[in-house]
Amino acid sequence: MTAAAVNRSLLLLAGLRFYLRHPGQLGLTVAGIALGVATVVAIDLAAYSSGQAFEASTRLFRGQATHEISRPGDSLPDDLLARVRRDYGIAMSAPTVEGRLRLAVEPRRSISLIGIDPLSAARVGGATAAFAPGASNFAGLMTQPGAVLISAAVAQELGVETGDELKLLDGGGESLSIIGQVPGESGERYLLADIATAQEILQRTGQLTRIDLRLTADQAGLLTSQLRQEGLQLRPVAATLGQVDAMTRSFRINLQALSLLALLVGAFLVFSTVSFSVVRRREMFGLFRSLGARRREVLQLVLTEIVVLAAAGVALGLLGGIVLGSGLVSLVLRTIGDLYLSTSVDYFGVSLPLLLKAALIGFGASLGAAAWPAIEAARAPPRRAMLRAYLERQGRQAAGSRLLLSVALACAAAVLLLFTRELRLAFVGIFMVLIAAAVAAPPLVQFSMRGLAAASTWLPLSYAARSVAANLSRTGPAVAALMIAVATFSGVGLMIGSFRLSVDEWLSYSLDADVLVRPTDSRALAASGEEADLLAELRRLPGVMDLSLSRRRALPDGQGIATLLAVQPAVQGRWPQSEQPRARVLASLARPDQVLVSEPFARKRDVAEGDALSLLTPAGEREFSIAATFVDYSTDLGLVAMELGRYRQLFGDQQLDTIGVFTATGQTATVLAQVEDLADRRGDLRVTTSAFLRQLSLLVFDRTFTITQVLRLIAGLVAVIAVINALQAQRLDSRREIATLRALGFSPGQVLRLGEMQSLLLGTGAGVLAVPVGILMAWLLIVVVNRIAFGWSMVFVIDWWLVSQGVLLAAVAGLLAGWLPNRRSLRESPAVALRAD
Amino acid sequence: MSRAPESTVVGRPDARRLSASPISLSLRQVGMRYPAAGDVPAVLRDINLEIPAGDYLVIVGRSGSGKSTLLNLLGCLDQPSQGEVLVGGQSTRAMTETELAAVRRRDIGFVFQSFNLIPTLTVRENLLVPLQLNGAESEAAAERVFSLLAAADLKDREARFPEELSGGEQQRVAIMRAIAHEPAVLIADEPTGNLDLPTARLILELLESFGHGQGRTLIMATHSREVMGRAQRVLQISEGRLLEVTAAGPVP
Ligand SMILES: Nc1ncnc2c1ncn2[C@@H]1O[C@H](COP(=O)(O)OP(=O)(O)OP(=O)(O)O)[C@@H](O)[C@H]1O
Ligand SMILES: [Mg+2]
Repeated sequence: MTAAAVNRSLLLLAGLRFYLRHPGQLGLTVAGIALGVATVVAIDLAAYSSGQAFEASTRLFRGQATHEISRPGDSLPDDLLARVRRDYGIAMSAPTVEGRLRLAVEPRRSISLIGIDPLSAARVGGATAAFAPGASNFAGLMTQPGAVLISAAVAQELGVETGDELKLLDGGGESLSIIGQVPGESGERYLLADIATAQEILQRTGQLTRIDLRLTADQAGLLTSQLRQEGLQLRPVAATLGQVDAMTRSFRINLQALSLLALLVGAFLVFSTVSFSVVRRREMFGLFRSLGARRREVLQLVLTEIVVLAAAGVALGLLGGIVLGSGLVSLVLRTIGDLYLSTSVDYFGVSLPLLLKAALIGFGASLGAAAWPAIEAARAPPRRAMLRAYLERQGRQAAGSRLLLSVALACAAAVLLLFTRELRLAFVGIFMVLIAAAVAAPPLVQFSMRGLAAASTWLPLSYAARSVAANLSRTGPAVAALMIAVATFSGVGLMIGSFRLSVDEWLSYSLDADVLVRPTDSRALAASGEEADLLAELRRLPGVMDLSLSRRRALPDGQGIATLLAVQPAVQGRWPQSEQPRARVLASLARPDQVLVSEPFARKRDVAEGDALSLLTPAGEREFSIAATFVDYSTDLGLVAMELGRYRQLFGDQQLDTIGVFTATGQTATVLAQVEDLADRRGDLRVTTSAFLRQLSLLVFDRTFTITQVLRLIAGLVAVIAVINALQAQRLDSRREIATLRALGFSPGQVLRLGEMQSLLLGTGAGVLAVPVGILMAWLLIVVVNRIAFGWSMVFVIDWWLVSQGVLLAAVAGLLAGWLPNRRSLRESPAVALRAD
Repeated sequence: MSRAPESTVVGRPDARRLSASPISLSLRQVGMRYPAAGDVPAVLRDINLEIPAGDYLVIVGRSGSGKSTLLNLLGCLDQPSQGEVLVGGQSTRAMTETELAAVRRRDIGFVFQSFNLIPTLTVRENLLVPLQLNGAESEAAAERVFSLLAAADLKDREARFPEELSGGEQQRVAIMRAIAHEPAVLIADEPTGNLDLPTARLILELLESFGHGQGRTLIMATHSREVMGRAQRVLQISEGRLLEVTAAGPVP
């Protein structure tokens, strides 16, 4: 062995001994890396699997189809199919209608109903699985009213079988009869019906969700241009697979933001644990140097050691992340199954690149965290590296440059966030803000502790504050990690809170009627000419004050597809939610040349109040002027609102989707009963209450954000680990000091309380700092991200109780984390602790 | 923090007196064996020692002979594995850690070889610690600190932190801290071990002038022959036993 090799192995031995002697430190370092990596893996897996689920669901029943015709955000008229077949001679075309419904047996989860035309589906080569076992299904679907096939997953979940009836949740006691099962183990939840049955049940008579086609390249080329003129889209199926549907975008962006946030929190935790374990031994490295070890050797030692630790942490983290991720995935898939996908797919896949990415982050953050203090220890003159005072003084010098760096980062972020319209850049900006905050955290805590120490005349307090300040050269990264974790905890909470409040507020405007009545077949109602009678009858019911009428349809134009909302608002209603006074908005709406647009529409088209807007009507292009913008979260593609009478004139469409019934105060229940009676008598109406819809919407909202809540919990956990780290550092540093205090006659109780005061100060200091950071984070997520991604503006409300929960979390985490080390420091005889030098 | 007397660093309000009444220390059949040391013979064996109030005792011995161990026992920083330590005639064996702390706070001052000042407190504050612990009035404490600083010639250093002092200065502060509350016993474990000769002499003078006389007992471990010459009694530890060396006589 060469001298250098001996030297190195001895250095390694010293490193090993250190961890053996401090198993807590070893455990903490590995756990810190593991939790960081696990967080990244879990959230990423959830996002990835949901993507896979979207894709799998898009493939369902597509067979050999190469293209699809669809209209994003809206349905197709079913005469289109006939035209496609007749005008373009495309026989290989299969119509599908998809929608969601709720069954009486499982009112909390919606389920999708897919309506196909079995004959055309077979021609395109789709749905073969459904009919493989026997042709009886085939005929049964088309001939038996209300006949459905159920997927194996549904059969299992609901415990139903062939021959059973499924009652619908709403609607006049209609039910479906199960005539068979579609085999398969993929876990998709759906009901399959003949297209006519599905249209009827979904109240989409005459409407299609899409038409699948099997086309040659020539046919595709021809069709594309023809369809575009009608505002329809022809897309290759392959393209639709990976493509994010407008409806799902918000959810995916939410997930994406979360996974980035998780990445940051995870990386910070890794950074803080590792840098702590190195910083703690700076003196030792200095000693090695004073004994003649070369810089490179010291550096090698640290890096080797960290690679070994990181390997253990990353392995554990990947495993833990997969376990945690599988839990999250089922949560996420349930949500998207409920909200967006026509089919819910149980998909859990682990992708190698994803794991590699997390592992890289684990190693990268570990080495990055270790490198700086290691280089510092290796670079410093040997003797000086051992001197605490030198380190502290250096730390003090660093504080200034840290603050400067932080301010520079924050400024860059501000510029980025102000001017970007690019979502990815906005995320980068938020990242930079958080990193700036993390960089500034240790010096800020230090300053405030010094201030507290100077201001306090009570010696124990100023002593505790000063030792917290003094220890920050070591506890700094942990304090930063704690701060980020707590900020994430409260920031994400605030974001959800504000989002929910905005949605709730918007619901109170958009669902302003008390009872909602919907014709089961709006076309039939329009054709029968009975509308006026029905409305008069509703108005006559005692307790009814007013009615509002509305109709939604797609509004294709050159720039994409928005929704046209034709309304006749009620005088006593609240819609629309606009900054202008309602009376003025309604007055403008009543004028023939004025429309309202939703915020996303205004943003997408870059139009504002007072601008002109030309809309394509059956009678040709018409110029309108925009009277006002209003809040709407129902679609990010945008909404144009027009007075119903004007719409009927221009578009020649007499159908109604919803009649809102406004009742006198306290009369909702009686009115509801009468309207239900009326619906029973007539048989062509469905009745529900706004309160119910609102509740349902919020329920769905809460479920959507469950995964976000999980991230909050993880952040809480990270906070605890970070604070344990910080306190361990503090406790270790003060071992001698505590022994001295005891030699001076401090009683165990006094020592304990001093320790607890330090723990509390450290936790609270980081927690208080996290308050503005968390608020800023929430504000950026709510205001900047939403505006850029969707054009939604939201109220931003600071829930101070929630914010104080964050501070409380940090303080309690501090106290709890200090519990053991504080007590342990008492177990040792002061004589022994004083001997250790 | 409602249990005021115990929970504050200031300590019991009834711990009024600044000047301790003289007390004696005794060791009865004291043996000390460190648990981690395995089969190694005990560091101290069957030690019997009486230290009357006002004594000036020096302990010598080779490095590793157990000087620090003995002083730690006398200073109630550690408990013997055998026998008992009596402080003012009272056995410490059955005392709780809190009671031991009270003894240390009231009756004993300790000076270490490596100073052990509290790094995050200034010189002035370091001196205040034992006074506050013993419940001194803040005015009286301030006066006391003032006179201590003057005595140690440290008046212009009072706002500095320990790391901003030289070793000799730090040790001066440490001595002042040890006698600030006027303990009955002052124990110093190689107080000059880390200092050069002239500084060491200064420190010794300080120790002797404040730590001895008026019934106060001074116990010191040292390698310095000069000190041995000045003490009333010199004890030597060797192989776990204590030998009384003739008073004031040169050590072979
Ligand atoms: N915590 C401990 N665990 C095990 N053995 C110990 C411990 N502390 C001291 N010893 C042993 O006890 C013996 C006496 O140590 P002590 O520190 O009392 O010696 P000393 O006379 O003060 O030496 P020096 O003059 O070098 O300070 C030594 O052999 C030492 O190895
Ligand atoms: Mg010693």
